[in-house]
Amino acid sequence: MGTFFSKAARKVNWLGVGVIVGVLALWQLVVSTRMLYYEALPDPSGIFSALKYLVNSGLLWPQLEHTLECALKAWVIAVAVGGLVGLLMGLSGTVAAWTTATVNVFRSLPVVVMIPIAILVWGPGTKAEVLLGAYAALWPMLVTTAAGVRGIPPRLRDVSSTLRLSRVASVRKIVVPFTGGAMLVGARLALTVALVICVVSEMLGLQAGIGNALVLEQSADQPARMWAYVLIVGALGIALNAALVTLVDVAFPGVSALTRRSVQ
Amino acid sequence: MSQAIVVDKPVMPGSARSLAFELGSVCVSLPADGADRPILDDVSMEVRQGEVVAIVGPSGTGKTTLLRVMSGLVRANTGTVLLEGRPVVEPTGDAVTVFQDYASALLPWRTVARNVRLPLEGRMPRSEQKDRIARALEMVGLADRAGEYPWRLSGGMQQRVQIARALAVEPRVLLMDEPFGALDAITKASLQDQLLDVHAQTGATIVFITHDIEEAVYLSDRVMVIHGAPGTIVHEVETGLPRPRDQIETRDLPRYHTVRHELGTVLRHGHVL
Amino acid sequence: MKEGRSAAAGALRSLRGLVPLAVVLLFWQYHSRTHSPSTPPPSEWWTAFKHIEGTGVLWTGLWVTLKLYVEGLVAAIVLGTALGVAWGSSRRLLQALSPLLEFLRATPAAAVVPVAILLFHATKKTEIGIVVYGSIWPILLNTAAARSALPPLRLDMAHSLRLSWFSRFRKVVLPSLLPAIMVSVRVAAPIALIVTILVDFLMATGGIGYLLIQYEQSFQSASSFALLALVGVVGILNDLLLTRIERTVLHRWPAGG
Repeated sequence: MGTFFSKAARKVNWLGVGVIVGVLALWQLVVSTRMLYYEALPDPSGIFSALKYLVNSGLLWPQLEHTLECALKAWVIAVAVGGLVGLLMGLSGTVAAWTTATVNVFRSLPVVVMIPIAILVWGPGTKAEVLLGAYAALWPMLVTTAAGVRGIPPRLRDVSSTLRLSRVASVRKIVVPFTGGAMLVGARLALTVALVICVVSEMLGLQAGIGNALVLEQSADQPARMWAYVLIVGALGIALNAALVTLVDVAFPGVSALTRRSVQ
Repeated sequence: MSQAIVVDKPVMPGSARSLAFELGSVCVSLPADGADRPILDDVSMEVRQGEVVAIVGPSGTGKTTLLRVMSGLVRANTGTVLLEGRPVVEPTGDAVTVFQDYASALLPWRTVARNVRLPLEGRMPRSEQKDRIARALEMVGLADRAGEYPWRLSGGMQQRVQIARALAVEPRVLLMDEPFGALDAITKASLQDQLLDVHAQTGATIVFITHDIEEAVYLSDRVMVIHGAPGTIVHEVETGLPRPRDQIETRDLPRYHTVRHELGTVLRHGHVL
Repeated sequence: MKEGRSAAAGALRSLRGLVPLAVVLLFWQYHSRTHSPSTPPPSEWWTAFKHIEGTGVLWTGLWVTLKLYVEGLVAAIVLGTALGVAWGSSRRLLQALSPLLEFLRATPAAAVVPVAILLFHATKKTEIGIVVYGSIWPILLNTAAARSALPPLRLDMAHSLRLSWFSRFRKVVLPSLLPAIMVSVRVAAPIALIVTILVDFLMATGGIGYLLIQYEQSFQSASSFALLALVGVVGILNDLLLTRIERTVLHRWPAGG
């Protein structure tokens, strides 16, 4: 499904951009002419000035830094642990048999329920935030990796035994490159999840970061700044994802081509 | 369930039967990548009632478009398209299409019988629907498979289901777009003969597109060659072969070889030598 | 298709995957060094659970949450399917709206809650609206993709058989899309549950999530963990139910649809 939309939006999609511009223009018009007046609905220029204020006043940067730092730490842990366990589960039927049901229990548990628990156990600090993000992002990474390994065509396994590759060499030369695509998809999902959970946990009681700032602006009754933060959150997600994809493209050119064929 | 050959218009002197189809200087352009691309140029042809007509030609010459114009799925930009004297503006129950891609043309979540029922629903009482479905399946030899799902049947059988669905409508004309193109040679031969049976029983007019010259000559009364881009009819030949046809006997006849040779030459060079 | 006996054996075999979880819980229960006020042993969870149940808030809270979940998910399915079919049927429309929708989709539902509260006030409808906003994307995007991938031939066929627009939609388009819709619902449902609990947290609905926050803020750890376990069970049951529904709906489609 990812292929489908990247094809639609890749050649500079003037029509799409035009639609966004059009919506913004309409919004501006509607608010400026007081056709629709909500105190809580600022116009795009209002949001833009709020954004400028946040940037210039220096308020934004420590918040951004905090959220990003937590999200990235969480992500690294999730990718490492999830990738490792996923590989194990995919490679070994025994491991899979003795762990799959547990994984499914945790997967079906709504992640956000862990937030109050984590705050209870570790207090409202960075540690809780990172652990939460890592916990949440772990599962998509694990599941996608395991599925990727299991999806290796049987023919390739034959190749490895014909060439008499040792277990380690087989993992290194066949499994990892082939699973690379799946792992990339898993890593992207994990990044999105880590970011979202970090922001949400900030909104729910952790005293720092973008999420926290968002909630504070709500209580301070500053709709324009609140909207600005919402936009920042959205943009952050897109930016991080794009950065990851570009990075991998540069480091491992073949892998993303494989990704475009795999399921999202 | 023989089709009565209805004569709507006064029979013109010189023609033995009235016309099922009459196309006059049809030009068709279709949108492709923004601009309009001409597909058919000045196509004129006649199909007499009860005839079997084959249309052959290389890829990209607009054969499918021609069929779609005749079925009413596509409107001609200029020219006239008459089905039994009336202009064709949209699909009618008098001319039903059978497509090459039977997997897409059949609905996988419906049984064979319910697939055949699709064009009849809401148009006639249940009892009549049942009768027509039974007769149609009987005619293609799938009466015992009525309750199965299409994906459990072979390709040839699925195509027969599609044909049965077309026959259930009891159309005057059967339009077929490379109906046997996706099948292997043995199944193809079997289905060709079944089609001849259907034609003998119903007297319906059949217009079909094919890549296969042999098939064209074997099945039809007349073969038209379409060539060029945009496509136009460059040649027409009466096969003049006796009916009933036989896979071995008919293909041994000298006339068969002559026609086949003629068509092969035209296709190779784009015109008669 | 497995026969009855080996199906039961298969189910039992898959239960051994729960061993790691059981081991962790047992360790937690009997290892007193891991106990701090904030990490009570599982036995205390059960006591707390009984206690909460006695006060009557438990089942009411669960009902509130589940009701919001179902209402939100159903609305998301209906809207997502209808809009997805419409959107996916036009190449132009897809191209025009994709960037805008991709951006909206990247904005998590949680971030939208404060905005929604300010704009629409804290009502039931707002709650449902947020759940819809959070969970509609898989359905919308998947349905649009499937609609776009529908072989034009199938639609031509329906047109050539003179089916009315409505009949085409009901008998050809919708059933063709059903496998994709079902798969997307499978993805959207857990998201809807998560967003529902989030709404519980942020909007004082009186549901399970709201109770959990109360217990957390008053440091009632055993009660918090009891609710965690309850939500866990709800999650598992939800998952099993969805799998069963998926299987029932799709039994008429060949693998791949």
